[in-house]
Amino acid sequence: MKLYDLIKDKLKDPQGVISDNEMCVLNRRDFLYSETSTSSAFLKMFGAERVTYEMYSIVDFVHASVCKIRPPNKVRVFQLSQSMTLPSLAVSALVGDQASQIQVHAPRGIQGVDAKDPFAKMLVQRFETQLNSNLTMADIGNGDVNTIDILFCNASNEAEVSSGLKSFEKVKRGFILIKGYGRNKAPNCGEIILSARLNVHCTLAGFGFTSAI
Amino acid sequence: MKQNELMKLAADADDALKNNLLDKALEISEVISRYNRSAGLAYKGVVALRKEDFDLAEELLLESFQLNAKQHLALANLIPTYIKKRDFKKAVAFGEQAHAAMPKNQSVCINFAAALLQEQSYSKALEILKPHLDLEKPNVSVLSGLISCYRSLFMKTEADEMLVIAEKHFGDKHEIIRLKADTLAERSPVAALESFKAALEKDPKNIATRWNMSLVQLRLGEFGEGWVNYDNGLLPEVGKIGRPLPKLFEGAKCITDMDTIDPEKWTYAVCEQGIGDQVLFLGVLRQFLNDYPKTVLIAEKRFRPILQRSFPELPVHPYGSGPFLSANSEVVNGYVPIGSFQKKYRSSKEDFIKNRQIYLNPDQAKLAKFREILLKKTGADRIVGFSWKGGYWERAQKTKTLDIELWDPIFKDQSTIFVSLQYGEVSKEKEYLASKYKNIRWIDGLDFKKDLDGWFALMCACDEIISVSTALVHFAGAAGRSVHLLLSDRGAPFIWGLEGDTSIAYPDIKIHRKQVSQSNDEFFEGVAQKALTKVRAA
Repeated sequence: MKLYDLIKDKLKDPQGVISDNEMCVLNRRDFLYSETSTSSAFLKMFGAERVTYEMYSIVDFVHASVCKIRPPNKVRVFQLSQSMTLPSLAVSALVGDQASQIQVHAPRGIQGVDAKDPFAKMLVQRFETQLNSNLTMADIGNGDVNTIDILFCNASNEAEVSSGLKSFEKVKRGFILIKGYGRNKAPNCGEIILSARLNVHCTLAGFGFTSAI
Repeated sequence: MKQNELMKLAADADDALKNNLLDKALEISEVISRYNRSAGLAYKGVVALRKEDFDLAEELLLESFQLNAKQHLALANLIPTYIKKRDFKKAVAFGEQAHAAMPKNQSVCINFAAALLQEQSYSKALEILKPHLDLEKPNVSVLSGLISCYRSLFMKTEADEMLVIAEKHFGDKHEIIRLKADTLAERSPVAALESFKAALEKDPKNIATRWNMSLVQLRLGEFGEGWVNYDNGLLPEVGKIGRPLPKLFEGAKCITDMDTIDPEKWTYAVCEQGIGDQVLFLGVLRQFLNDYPKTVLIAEKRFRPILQRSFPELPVHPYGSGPFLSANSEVVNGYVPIGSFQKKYRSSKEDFIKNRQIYLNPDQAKLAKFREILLKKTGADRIVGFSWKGGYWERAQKTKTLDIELWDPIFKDQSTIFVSLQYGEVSKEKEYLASKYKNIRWIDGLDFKKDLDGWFALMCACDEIISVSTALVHFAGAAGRSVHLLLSDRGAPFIWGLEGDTSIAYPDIKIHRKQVSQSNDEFFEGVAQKALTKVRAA
């Protein structure tokens, strides 16, 4: 149930509401559920319209981060958690041929995605070829000046977040995105963050990120 | 520098601009800038505007105006700058301010009126231009603005009077020949076409003229050249009265020549214009898919259930998919605005007629439910749907709408149940009809604009439909339903042609054209007789 449904009778005509079953924000413009939202179009292609607001927001953040990528830049995605398949696929679909190369490394594998039509299937097939790369975790941060490293992990696994942040220390260009970082009891890896002089910004939607720009 | 020296420099800059010595004007404006930055920036802005560097002109003029809100040169030139940038809302906003500050300045008034015309504010534009009409020494822009205003306000006599004056003084100018063509477009398309061709002899590359001419060519059934010229509506020179496309597709390749499409790559077909136009254009979709199976259709969410049912194999994506296109040029050809399909598949009347078929399917369960409810509740044998107004633009609304008070001869038939299929605000008409008739039904709780699938099922549940030209006619026509289309004597969309009582685009549309010599009563009595007699006979 959306939180907003529980409280709407007590509110005086809020002008914009963003709500799911965990959060409710009033008087804000929502750019993610509209017909012109690219995140929404992407998730619909894979039958994933019912994901949390956080995932809509993650896909949108990914799009915002990669929309200016052009050759000779190369993109390398390190997907540490299976549950981050949609964001990895979003990088592949939204960067497309605007990068000289896209490689994906998912040490724990990927989740199955439900491509709803032949165009979506084509995007998945291309993503799968990008997965067949020789990348390893040891490659994080070792690329040349044109290399952009993107790390995706999920806060439900503390070891994953720690290793992700630790690896991100070496990254010269790119970002790390941690799903569920703002969730109560999620690991914040304070020591790693402090020792690496990082700051993980936690968004209201729930995910955290830090960038190397 | 003394004030009089500065004034002298300003006069020199004015002179240079008057003689189109732009480099000299720029030099002088540099000097002016040192002593009066706002004035210097204003002159530089005018030079940029003349050099057609509109972004720079906007930047300079805005800064000048911000430094000094009384900088009239900047204020006045911001209007044409925004007109050139096709941002008519801003042009009107600065026009309001400039007009308030300089109400007698003719060029301010002409530019302000031009912006108002683009925003469909015809009465206001007329009010602004009228004081500048000098019958002895008329200004061509004032005259052309007035003709456009009168034409759009259906003030035919006044438009004709102005046109006579314009032809007398400026008969050989492209602008006036085109206005004559526009004025003739609905009442005498053949003569209009001649005028358009004459206008193009003066200015062969004029995009707006070619666009206006395309609508006349299509109305005359000259589909071959008409569809080619129709593609001019995609260009920025025509603006939003043409075929504006979603900004999300900017940066991707727009395809208007189908022969350049690589069938091995994906192609996005983008729905454009009003929902009725979209249905019309989709009449060629099966042929297009046959030639280019790797197609993704981009359409509004509300249209999606109908499209997915009617074209089950076709991916239908929302407008938000635009960025996938520009990012994936190796696997995607680009996008085709669906209006541009037509020139490949509908280049003659015969092409339309031989492909006239059903291509949209309603939700049969919803349709059956509507029939059951309507027939059971009323005990009637037959349902007739009706709609009396249509059009998005003010001018189109005035052309298409046939006020509900005129429909009495239709509703008098007590043996029929009439269902309103009219979308939008209808409360006044509902009240009026409720006070007169017991055989009219309104479907409450179904928003025809949002629930397109429900509306489509409801119209398909009707045995007959009587309607003015609106999206309803296209949907019902594409579903093969029996439609009686009512056309006023003020003009009609090109697809209904100029004569004949059947449609070339849809299988079962009967066209009723009101003649100028006919009274409204005579017209509606005639429609009632033809449409409802058939219902009774059935």
